Amino acid sequence: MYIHIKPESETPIYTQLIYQIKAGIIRKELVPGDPLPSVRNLAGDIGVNMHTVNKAYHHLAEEKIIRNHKKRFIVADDLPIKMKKGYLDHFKTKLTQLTIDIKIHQLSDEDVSEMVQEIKEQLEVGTEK
Amino acid sequence: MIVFALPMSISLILIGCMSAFMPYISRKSSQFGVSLPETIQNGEEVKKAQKINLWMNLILTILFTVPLLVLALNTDKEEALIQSSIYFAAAIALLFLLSGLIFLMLRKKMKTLKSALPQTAQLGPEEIVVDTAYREKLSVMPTKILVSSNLLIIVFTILITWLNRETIPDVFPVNWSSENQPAVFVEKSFRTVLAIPFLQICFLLIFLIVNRAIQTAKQQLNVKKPEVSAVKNRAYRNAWSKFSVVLSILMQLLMTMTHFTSVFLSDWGITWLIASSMGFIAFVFGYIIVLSIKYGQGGERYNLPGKNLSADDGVGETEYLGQDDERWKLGAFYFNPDDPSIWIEKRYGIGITVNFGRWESWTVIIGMLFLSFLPLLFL
Repeated sequence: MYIHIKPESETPIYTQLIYQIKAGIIRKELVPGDPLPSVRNLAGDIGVNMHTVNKAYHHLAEEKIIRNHKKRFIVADDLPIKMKKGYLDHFKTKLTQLTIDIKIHQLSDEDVSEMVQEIKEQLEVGTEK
Repeated sequence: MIVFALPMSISLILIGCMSAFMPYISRKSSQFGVSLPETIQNGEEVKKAQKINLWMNLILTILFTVPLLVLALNTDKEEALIQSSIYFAAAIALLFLLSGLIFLMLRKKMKTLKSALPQTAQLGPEEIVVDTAYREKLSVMPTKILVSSNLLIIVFTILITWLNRETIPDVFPVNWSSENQPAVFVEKSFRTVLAIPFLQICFLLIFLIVNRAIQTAKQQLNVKKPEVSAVKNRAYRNAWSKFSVVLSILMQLLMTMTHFTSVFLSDWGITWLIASSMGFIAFVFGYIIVLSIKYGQGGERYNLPGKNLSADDGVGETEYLGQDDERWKLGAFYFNPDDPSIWIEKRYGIGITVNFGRWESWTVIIGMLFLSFLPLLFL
């Protein structure tokens, strides 16, 4: 799969990496068992510190989306996996922030569900390939 | 008279032509070490700079070659050889220096050209694109083939030497005069006899580093057409990896010939050795020229066999890198401590270079220099 990184974006690069890889899995551009590039290679290709890539990989490994295999990370083969307790809390925090924004900007439920639908459709692109 | 003048003039002409034609086979997205936005990549200014570089280098080459032919007219062969050798070394150094100055002058022109553009046009792309399977799909020559082919030649050389150790004279030549007569002799000992096989092992190690570098160098894909640029780039790396294995085998064979000539066949082997060396140099230069023209830098010039993939819109395959110029000192030396890449494709010219901003790169450079000079201790 192709990972797209915006170095100047407000979103930290490791977060971009995490979601690029997750999206790749949803689009089936990465399938269970697929190896991810080594930390050094990926960091070199993007031109960022190796810690950045390490952080993203460890985050994904904690979520059990990727796992260690022969000194490399590969996409876990038992997807989808149930959200772990620790990550569920983290997810709730993010959802809280979004809900606060929904309330304060008074977005209607329809607006929100329309947006969610649109995003889901975008993530489906490529699945049919 | 022209026995030595010919290879010397040809070398000078080749070096001069390389500088003269370099911009045409370099990346469109970076000329004279300056990253150029798509809007000016095919502009008149760039074409003019390329022409200036071409003619200035060609004229310099002719000016430097003529004295070699004049020196060769000297009837005193020995004197002519010494004079030509000194002149040749000086001419090469000076030619490099002057082409370098032409390069820097044109680099300045490119910078001025770029800074005249509106600020928005100077900005690089917002995105970087990376193929996660880039190195899985990249096929460089396997280390196994490189090591086994080279080791076979080295082991053969040592074995033949050992089996015929009795026939090695007590003193054997390591250098020959212009008349092809043995000139410098060394005494027979383990160290002197094994000097060349040791050099061969050092060369194998250097080639291993090179092959690894081709495999690991930073991938730089065009954001707008990542598939095309990835396929082209992999074809380019594959071709150069093959070349380096062929080169390693030929060099090993040449060193084996040198070794046998030195220890066994000093009276007549030298003629063959000279002929083979000339053939070797001609073949290697020819190969390099063909690869450079066919693939360009990073595979940019490579024409894809399948039409559906080749989206040739006359724009460089490599992304314009915006304000990255500051990272390229003098337009040629990459210095970026924040980039963990050790090897990176050159910005100007063909091939790869190191990231001088990383300590790992310096260990590689020192290691390679060490490997090239270590065998001298044997003689």
